[in-house]
Amino acid sequence: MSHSIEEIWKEGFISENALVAPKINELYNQKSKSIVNKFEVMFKWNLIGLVIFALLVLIVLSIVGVPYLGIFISSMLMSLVIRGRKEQASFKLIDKNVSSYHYLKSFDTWMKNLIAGYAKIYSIFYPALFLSIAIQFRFTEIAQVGINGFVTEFPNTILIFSTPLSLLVTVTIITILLYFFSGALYRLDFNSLYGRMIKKLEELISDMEELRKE
Amino acid sequence: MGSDFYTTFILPYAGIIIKICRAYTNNKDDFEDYYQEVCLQIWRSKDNFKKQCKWSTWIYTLSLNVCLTYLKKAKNSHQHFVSDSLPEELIEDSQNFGEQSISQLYNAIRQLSEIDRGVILLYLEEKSYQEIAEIIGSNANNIGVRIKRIKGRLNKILNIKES
Repeated sequence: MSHSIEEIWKEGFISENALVAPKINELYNQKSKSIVNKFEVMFKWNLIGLVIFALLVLIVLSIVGVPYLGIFISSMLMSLVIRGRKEQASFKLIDKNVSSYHYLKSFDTWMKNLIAGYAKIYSIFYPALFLSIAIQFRFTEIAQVGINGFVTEFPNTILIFSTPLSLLVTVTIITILLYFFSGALYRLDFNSLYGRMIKKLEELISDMEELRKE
Repeated sequence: MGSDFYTTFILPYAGIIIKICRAYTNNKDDFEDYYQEVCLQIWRSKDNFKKQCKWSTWIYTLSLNVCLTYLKKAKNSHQHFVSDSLPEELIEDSQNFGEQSISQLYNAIRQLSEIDRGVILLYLEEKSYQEIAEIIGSNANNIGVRIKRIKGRLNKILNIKES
């Protein structure tokens, strides 16, 4: 080939049909496939779902006679909604009207903040949820019958607040494990859904940073 | 989308969008999806357009940003651009100058990293190093060095002797 790439480029678009725009129908009603917009939509529906779920939990638990547990779990769910609202607001900070590097960086920072924020929330949310259910369960008749049976079977059992120490230790261990693994599980879950995009983003930023350093 | 907006503000610049989207896609379906997404984002972001730069420059920036972060869905389609899948003997033939050569050039550009594709497209569109640096987010000197390297790679792929 004897022509330069600049010549090939110029000559290549002389032909009239080289730049024919594809037909687009009802573009405004189309769903966006940009990752940023996908997150925006996902968040919107997540928040609506959480509000509905919080209300249902409150109603159902009140009906079955554990209104305080209902209020507690609903409050925790609403804290996720509040956090989600903040994330929704931060979407607006991602401006496409900037250089590619700054756009990718602001998207990356937003995503990292999002993951870190939710990982922190879930590391408290799940242990608190488990603990609140465990405490509520302790005061049910079924639990009391179980504990009575256990004490009869093992009369040397140490009781703290009328509850076997071994049971308290088990609940504590599960709570601690949930504290440590909820965040990690959330990250794992997030990566399984968006790992490809995260990897792509990292590669782009790394390439871009190399270009800035040259 | 208001068809007036598309006709007045996007269609006259469709060439820019087509050139960019084509470098990031391998088949007609993907190309149309990317084109549509860029148009959609232009419509959605139009209120953020600051008149510090030209509308065309803004379209370059936005098109690149959209192509870089587009979530490509997995497709089984083998519907390649007709002119991008020429037989080997025709690829060697440089007499047929025009669409055939531009297809070869696009095939070569697609072998570059995503950032390098953006840089060389802007260069071929005769943007200054300073403009490219502003759109990409680097500095003009680095852009110059990178362009030289990219051109070397493209020349090698296309078997062009460097002057």
